[in-house]
Amino acid sequence: MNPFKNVYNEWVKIAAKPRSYLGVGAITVLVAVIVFALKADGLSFISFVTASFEQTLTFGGNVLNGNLVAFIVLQMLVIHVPLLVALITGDLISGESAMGTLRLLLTHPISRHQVLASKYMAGAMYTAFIVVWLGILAIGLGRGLFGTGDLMVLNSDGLVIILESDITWRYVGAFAVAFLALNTVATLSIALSCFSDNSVGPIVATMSIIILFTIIGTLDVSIFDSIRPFLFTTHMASWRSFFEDPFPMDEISNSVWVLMIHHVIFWAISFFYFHRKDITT
Amino acid sequence: MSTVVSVSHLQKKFGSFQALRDVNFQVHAGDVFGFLGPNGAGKSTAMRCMLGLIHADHGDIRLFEQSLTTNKVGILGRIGNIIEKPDFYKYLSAEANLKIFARMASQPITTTTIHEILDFVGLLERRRDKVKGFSHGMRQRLGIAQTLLADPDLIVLDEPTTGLDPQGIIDVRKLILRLKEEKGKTIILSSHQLQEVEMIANRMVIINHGHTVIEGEVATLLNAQDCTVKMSTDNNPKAQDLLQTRFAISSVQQENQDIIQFSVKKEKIPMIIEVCVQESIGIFEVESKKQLENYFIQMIQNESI
Repeated sequence: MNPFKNVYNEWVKIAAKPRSYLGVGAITVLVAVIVFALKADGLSFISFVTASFEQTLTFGGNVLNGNLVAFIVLQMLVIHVPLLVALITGDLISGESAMGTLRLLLTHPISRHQVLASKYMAGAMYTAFIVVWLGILAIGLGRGLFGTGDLMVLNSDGLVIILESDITWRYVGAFAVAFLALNTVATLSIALSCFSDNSVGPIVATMSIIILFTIIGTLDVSIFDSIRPFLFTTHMASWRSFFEDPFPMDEISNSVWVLMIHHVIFWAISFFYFHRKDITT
Repeated sequence: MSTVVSVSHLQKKFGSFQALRDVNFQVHAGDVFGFLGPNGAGKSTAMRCMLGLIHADHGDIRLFEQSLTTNKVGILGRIGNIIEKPDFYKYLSAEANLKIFARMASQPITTTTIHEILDFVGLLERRRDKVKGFSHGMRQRLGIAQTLLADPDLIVLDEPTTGLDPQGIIDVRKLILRLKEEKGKTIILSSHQLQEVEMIANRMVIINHGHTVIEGEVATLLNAQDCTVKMSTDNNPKAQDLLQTRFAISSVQQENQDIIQFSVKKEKIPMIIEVCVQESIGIFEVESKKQLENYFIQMIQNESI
């Protein structure tokens, strides 16, 4: 049978659920609020950054431009978007289990691996949709309202100025890595979803794991030094590396590898367990 | 007659609870097969094993003469089922729900076919309505529609009349009979409504405590049993006395003011009528029936002893 039909089925289900629009709606409102706030009082907001350099540097041109606005929006939202992703993906299997449709699904001529694979693909597509929507809103609204210009980014090494002509590919790369990070969350929540028969459990468990790993990642305790580089939460903000100069290729490659390995681990756990799971609901 | 389902020595344990100990039965092509047992006997577990939802610890399940273990996807393409209750995507319409399952079928299913099936179960007019607004009876009928989508050779119905009002029960019974008579389907029917099974099934199995108690032709099994006789006379006390003294029937009961009820071998009924007439007892009505309910209770009680 055609595997795309299963993915299409999953999309029909996601599209019909009201909660799927919660994430899209929340992102739209949040981006609009941030952009509106920056439009109203953005110059004083960025003066916190520029003030410390004004004795040695002179800032000219359109500093508060669409590219900076999009960067600020991304920085503010990428932390919260995992919850919106988990809200949908954590429900993909456990929701069906709770509703009783999983047993109907699994008594049709389709293997459990195909069911799970189609759910992973649909989850990845939803995550991609959220990331693209965030990108369209942040960059589109930012550039539309604030115009374009060079991007000024403050990071731990100091101030980085990226020329306007050098920005687009960095955003594409940043969104691709942001997608990979968010899809790691989606993969984790789907894997947890295999173990549960109610839809709330996997969503709460996913967020709990993210919070726990983030705390471990930020605690300056030497005992965690050895595991910190391997936690996926350490690499959730790797998209920011695209806005560094010189471009940290090794750092980004490392993050991509860690995130991909997490994908593989979560896939393996879920495929192994779901194949053997007794459907008793 | 070919064997559609063959289950042998099925065992399943959940933790320390042995849900199935030794379930065995066979379903032949064209059977309406009653699957009976008290609550907790292991009926649903056995059915779920048969459909690959639960992995059996031990035993062999063969459908269409193929092993479920090695050819599950191919086998499931030939089965339609409702297990326990028909759950659907509540936020989708009846038609959208069926389209989801149609896309999973082994062969292409057209929208026309979906409309024909919805018409067969009497839901064509409501096809665009969301399932969340459906009554339990309508969901049951949609469940039956879902089982018919891929024109399956075997239909498994687990408690299809649970929670239905009397009219709903009649509707579902008629649907099952139409499936048997018009479409010639092999049907496995699990139900607490023994009267339903008695009316519809030609073969049955009774399971209890996770193992098969008895399996066979409904008529043959019931024939070995006493009939339940309901008799209405113009002198019930005298008739009751006569049955107890002359025929040594101890099971005589006064069902109500007009009717006495007792159990007796079928061959004795003409003699009882003759003696009553000789004793000048006017007989208004005699109704004899072999009741599955009695048989079922007897089997389960024998098991418990």
